[in-house]
Amino acid sequence: MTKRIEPEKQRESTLLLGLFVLFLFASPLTLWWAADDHPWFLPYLLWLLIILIGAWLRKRYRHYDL
Amino acid sequence: MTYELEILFGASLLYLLILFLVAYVTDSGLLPESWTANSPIYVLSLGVYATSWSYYGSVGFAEKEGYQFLTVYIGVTFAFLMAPILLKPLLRLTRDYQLISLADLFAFRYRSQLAGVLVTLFMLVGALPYIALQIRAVTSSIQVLTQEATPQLLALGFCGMLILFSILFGARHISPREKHRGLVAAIAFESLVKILALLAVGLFAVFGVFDGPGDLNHWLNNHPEATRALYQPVREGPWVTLFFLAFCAAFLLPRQFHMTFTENFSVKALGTASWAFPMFLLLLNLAIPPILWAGDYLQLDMDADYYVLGITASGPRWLPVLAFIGGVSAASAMVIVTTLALSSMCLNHLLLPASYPDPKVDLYRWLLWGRRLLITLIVFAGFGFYQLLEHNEGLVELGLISFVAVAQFLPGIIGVLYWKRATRIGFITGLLGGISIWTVTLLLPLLEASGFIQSQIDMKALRQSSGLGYWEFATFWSLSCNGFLFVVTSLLTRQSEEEKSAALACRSDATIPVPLDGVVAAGSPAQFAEGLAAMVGPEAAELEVNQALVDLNLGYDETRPRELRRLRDRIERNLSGLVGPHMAHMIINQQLQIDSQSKTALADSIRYMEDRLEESRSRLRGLNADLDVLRRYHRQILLDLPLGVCAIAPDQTVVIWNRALETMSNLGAHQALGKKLNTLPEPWSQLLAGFAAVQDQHIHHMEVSVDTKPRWYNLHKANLPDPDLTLHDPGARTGLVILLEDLTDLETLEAELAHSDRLASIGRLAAGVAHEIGNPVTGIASLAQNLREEPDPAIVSESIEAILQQTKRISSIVQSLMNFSRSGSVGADFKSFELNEIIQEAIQLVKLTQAGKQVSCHNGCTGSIQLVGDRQRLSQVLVNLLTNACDASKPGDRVEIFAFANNGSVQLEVMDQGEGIPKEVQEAVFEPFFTTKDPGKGTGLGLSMVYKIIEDHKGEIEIDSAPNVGTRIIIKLPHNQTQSTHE
Repeated sequence: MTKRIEPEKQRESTLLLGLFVLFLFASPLTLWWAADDHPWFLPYLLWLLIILIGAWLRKRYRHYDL
Repeated sequence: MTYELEILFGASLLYLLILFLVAYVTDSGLLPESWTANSPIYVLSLGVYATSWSYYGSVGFAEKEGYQFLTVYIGVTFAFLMAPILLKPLLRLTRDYQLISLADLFAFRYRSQLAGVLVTLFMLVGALPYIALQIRAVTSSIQVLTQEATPQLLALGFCGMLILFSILFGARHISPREKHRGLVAAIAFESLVKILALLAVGLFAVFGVFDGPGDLNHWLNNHPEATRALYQPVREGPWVTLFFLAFCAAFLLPRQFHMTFTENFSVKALGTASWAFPMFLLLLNLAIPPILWAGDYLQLDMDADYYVLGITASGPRWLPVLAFIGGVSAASAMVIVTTLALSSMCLNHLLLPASYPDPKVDLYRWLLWGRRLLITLIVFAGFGFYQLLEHNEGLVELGLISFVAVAQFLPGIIGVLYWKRATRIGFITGLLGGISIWTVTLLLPLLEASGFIQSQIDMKALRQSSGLGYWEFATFWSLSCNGFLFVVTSLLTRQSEEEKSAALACRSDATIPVPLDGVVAAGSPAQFAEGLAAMVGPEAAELEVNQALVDLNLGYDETRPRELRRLRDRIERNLSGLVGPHMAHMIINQQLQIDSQSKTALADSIRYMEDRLEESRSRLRGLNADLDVLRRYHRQILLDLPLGVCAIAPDQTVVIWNRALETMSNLGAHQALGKKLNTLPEPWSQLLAGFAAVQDQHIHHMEVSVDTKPRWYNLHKANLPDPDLTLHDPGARTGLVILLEDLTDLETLEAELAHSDRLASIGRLAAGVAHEIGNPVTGIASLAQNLREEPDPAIVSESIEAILQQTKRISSIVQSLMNFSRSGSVGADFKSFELNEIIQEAIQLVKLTQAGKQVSCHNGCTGSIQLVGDRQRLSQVLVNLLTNACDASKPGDRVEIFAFANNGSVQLEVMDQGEGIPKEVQEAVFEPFFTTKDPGKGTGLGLSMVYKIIEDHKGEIEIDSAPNVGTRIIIKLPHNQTQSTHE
């Protein structure tokens, strides 16, 4: 039973992460982080953040791929 | 600092030689597979995404459009983070159905050759500018470093090397469906080189041009316009459009599709790539802003596209060469992989349908050389495009034109993965619409700018009137037109049955598979090969059939209809990897036809459906998943039932063979499933087929010889009518379920109990036996004593006679005892014997007991009655009954035993004058361990053994008893029963 729920959770988490990426990079929020007075590396930090969340999710559900 | 052309040529040649070496060492197996087929190599190989556009063009893009250049990579990041719901289903499809390109995927889903042709042509048109861009990047980079025009021969030589590499390592195997480990390793190596080169240039920008991060920050503080120039376009430009285009390109570009799916070796690697590949892209792009600022700082007088080379001029002498090699690696990897992917598409969807080879020709060689020829043609077409193009388009523009082109496949992908109602006409109409808008908005302006044509359409005015930017306008209108036509036409048209079935196979939440619609007309793998030979030639047909047999773990002698159906499916999948899904489907449909006349029952499809369900189990969702859990639960009950269960389809083939039956028969399910009952090994064939054929629903106590040992079974069966078949034809054949109950252990236990009961009786007889033997022994001793001194021969002779008589008496007692106590095996042969003999023996034995001595036993059996049965066990019956009668009698009472033949049966009666058996006890006396005797005087097994033995002899037993009057036990046995009637 557990094995059947895992893929569901993985799908849900992936979808949530996807929505977060869209919120961050494909919404009016870009106007906020792309403000002139922000440090030049801010987009890279945000990019790194979503990659790290993706890596954490991958670690959490890695056994599902096997 | 300028460089000699020869140095750069030599460096490029050396680099390409190393690349050849990496590919060769990997392909020839000199390196362990774990080194070359692992997740890091796969992730690096995906780095083919970063072409010379990324390597050189990103800096120019950043200069013009600021941080918008990041969209090209963040869009890819989005696609890869969505891998579990986007890329993994696609990977499953491409692996399961051997689809080696996007054109294959669409041709498979929409069951349309035209779809494959359109996709291939469009990919070709979209990719050629991109290939040209790579060649241009290499020649321009040489120009930057040498400050001289690059000879065309050098560009041609570069193309020649790429053709050679692609042919040697990308079209090396006979079949394109095999993985090219050498190619993957080489592309991974190229990615490593370009990221290291770009990071080296980036570090030089920070530490060589500026004086470290502090100095860079200081410069940025003094030049706030530098940071502003990066951020401002994000707020004002087509950020979302570019993000969307990059998302599509991440898996729809031919090279990305090829490396992500076709060359993938494990799902796990894709999982790792979901975050590691975005990380690779992040690192690659980290160097871009410092390089741009370094270029600005140095006030380089060149196109920002080539700042990567330009800023290194002030650095160590090796750095520009390294930077140049990085660019070569970026360009060559893209051209090689794109060419390979396009060649597969062109082969399957253009060349094969246009000129399918004669079956006499070796198909594999034809395909291999066809592919090689196409590789050459595609690279030269790219070179031709490069020659024709004016150099006024930036690297980014050429790349983005390709991006918008591949984005046109997105509606089709939605049809593949999520919308099963999408039709082939919808897909083709939508794609044609999208292509038309793409041509008008992007391709024509490009050709116009290059001076090829004079367009009458004023795109600029149209664009301005719409209020959209250049890329937004082209992307929005091409995709809107595409999507609208796709949806509307799909809703207005109907799918063919084949399309419906393909759409179901593509759905990520696969639904319950449909039952088989018939069996393959060919009845054996040999006939399969014969049929296929007419299309693919005898040699290829034989190889393909054998490969599919190996894949399914089947033998060449396979004849089971379901397995042959699976074999057909497998061959189609394998052929799909060879000649494309549409051609494979056509060949299979023509040469391995389904006999639709032979209507199959649900039971015939069970294994086929269950295999499909097992394959797609992890993808079932909602109600389907719940139903599957229920199905597995019920199946588990059948499999684990401690009774042998065998379900048989109407055509007498086995569809269920559970674990208990595997243990009973020593025949694994894989050996029995799908076989006809009469082809199973003996004795199961005779036992099951025989039972299936008879009318009886139950057979009890069937003796079967298994491995020369007797075993006993109860058999039960029930019909399994198939509603589909019986609805129209009530007399249609039905399936059966047969249950086997193994009684052998019970029989053995009963035999042991009977023996224990006999031993208990012997214990009770022991004292009497001792006494009975003791008297004649004393007599013999006295006679022998007298004989020693007896001179009279007459008396001696008389004494000897007396001794012999006493000895006979002892022998008789001992013989009776031995007959009784012998441990008889279950199922001993039934033999004919004289009933009177065993009655006499039983009386003799019982009279040895204390109780037996006190009563008068009378044998009322008159005449000779021959009985067929187990003599020893029937003797036990009489001893047990007489012992009970004597125990119940008072001293001096009379115990009588009568036997007479009556209407084909023999009736035995044992009567006593004892206290009788109370009515309420009479029903319980035959139960094991029930006794009315005092503790220690009876085991409670006597009458239960009597009941069992009489039942085994197909007899009946009754009790007629009245308190204080006596008891009469009546036994009726069939008179002439033989062993055959017993079975």
